[in-house]
Amino acid sequence: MKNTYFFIIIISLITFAGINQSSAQSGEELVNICQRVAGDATYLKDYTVKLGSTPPGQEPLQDKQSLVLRKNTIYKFSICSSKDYSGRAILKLFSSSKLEASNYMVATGKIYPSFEFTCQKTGAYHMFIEFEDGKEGLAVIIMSFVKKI
Amino acid sequence: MKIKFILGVIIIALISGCKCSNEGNDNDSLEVPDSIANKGVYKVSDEAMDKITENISSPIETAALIKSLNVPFSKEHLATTDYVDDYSTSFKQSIILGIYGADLGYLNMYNKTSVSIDYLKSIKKIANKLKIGQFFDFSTLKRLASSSENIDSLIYISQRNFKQMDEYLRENNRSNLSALTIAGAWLEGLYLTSEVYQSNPDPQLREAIGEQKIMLSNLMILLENYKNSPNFKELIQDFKKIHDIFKEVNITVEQGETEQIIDENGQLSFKQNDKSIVKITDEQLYKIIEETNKVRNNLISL
Repeated sequence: MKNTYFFIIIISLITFAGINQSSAQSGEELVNICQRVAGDATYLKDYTVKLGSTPPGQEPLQDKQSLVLRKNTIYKFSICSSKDYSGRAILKLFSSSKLEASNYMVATGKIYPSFEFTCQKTGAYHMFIEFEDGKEGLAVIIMSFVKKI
Repeated sequence: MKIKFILGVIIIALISGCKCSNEGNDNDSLEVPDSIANKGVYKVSDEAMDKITENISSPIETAALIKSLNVPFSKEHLATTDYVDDYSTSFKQSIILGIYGADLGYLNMYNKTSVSIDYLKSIKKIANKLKIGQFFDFSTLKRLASSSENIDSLIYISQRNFKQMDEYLRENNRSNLSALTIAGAWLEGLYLTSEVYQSNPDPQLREAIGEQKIMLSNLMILLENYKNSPNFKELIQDFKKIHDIFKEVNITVEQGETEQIIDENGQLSFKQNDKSIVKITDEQLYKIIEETNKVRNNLISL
């Protein structure tokens, strides 16, 4: 009888682990979902960011990514946060120390799923990604090409 | 006895489950021969190298620029795939992988799917030789290329596959090969722009060539990291000749304030008013075109 209980427990654990594995949203799945958000724009690159929650009283944890953008080009940045975490991603695009664009509107507190950026200066840029209120989160950023101007 | 049998079944099930999850990555554990393992002397950290790599733009953007100018497609610009079986060293294979990758971007952008199948086959062959073929989903790409309606998916999956191959190389102590692939793709992008410029001297193409000064500076840092490798030494010398001409190109920036726009559909956008201006003389331009041509043709030859 003891052996039967042991067997049932083992089978339940395996089944439970399987269910958990299939329902968790992986970074790769998020990239594919986010590509649909990017719509007709041509895919160029993707960035996956995973950050833990920020301890109270501290500045939100950030991830920094470098990229190069070219003049006379409209780019689209699509930002997709994983449903498995409470954090919603905020992207800030900088050229040197100058903030050029963000999906977060300070005035309204609104977080947009994407934005377009008309680049007029070829060069290196930096993306800073954090999660709203320093919550734990997983996000994918897709940079895509809209058109030349 | 019964319980031993049940436990045995569970263990077998668990092992086979692990195998399933690794399907398609059978080559992951393959040993990297010494001849292709990373022999570079690291001066720049891996993190810095990653950032430098990200600062070299995608060849798909070059193809998009060319197409946006309504320049007709020309197969003449592409590197031949006739010698694909004859590139015998990992050094050459890595460079050719980058060159074919850029050519594939050009083909896809022009929706030349029948020709692109030939390049997909060649890329798969080279990727297999470099033991990264498991990341190049040839069957899906071939299926997408067979239907011209799936061009966006074709670009997306091929770009993603290249990214995965590059990441795998960098994560497995073969970042020297990743650097070569990036160099090959960059060089082919510049070559395509130069070739198109000669038949269509558009100011945007001229500027696109001049602004490669920024990307090449990053690329030189990347390549210099492996300067102690004999093959790299020669490649760096070749790229340095192009870089030396680019050093004379002048790029200035006019400052302006970025505008934020929310349209009637609620779509957020930003228009940058900083402006980069490229000053490149005819002499500099034609020297760059000539040297690029020489280096690229030398690299694709056997």
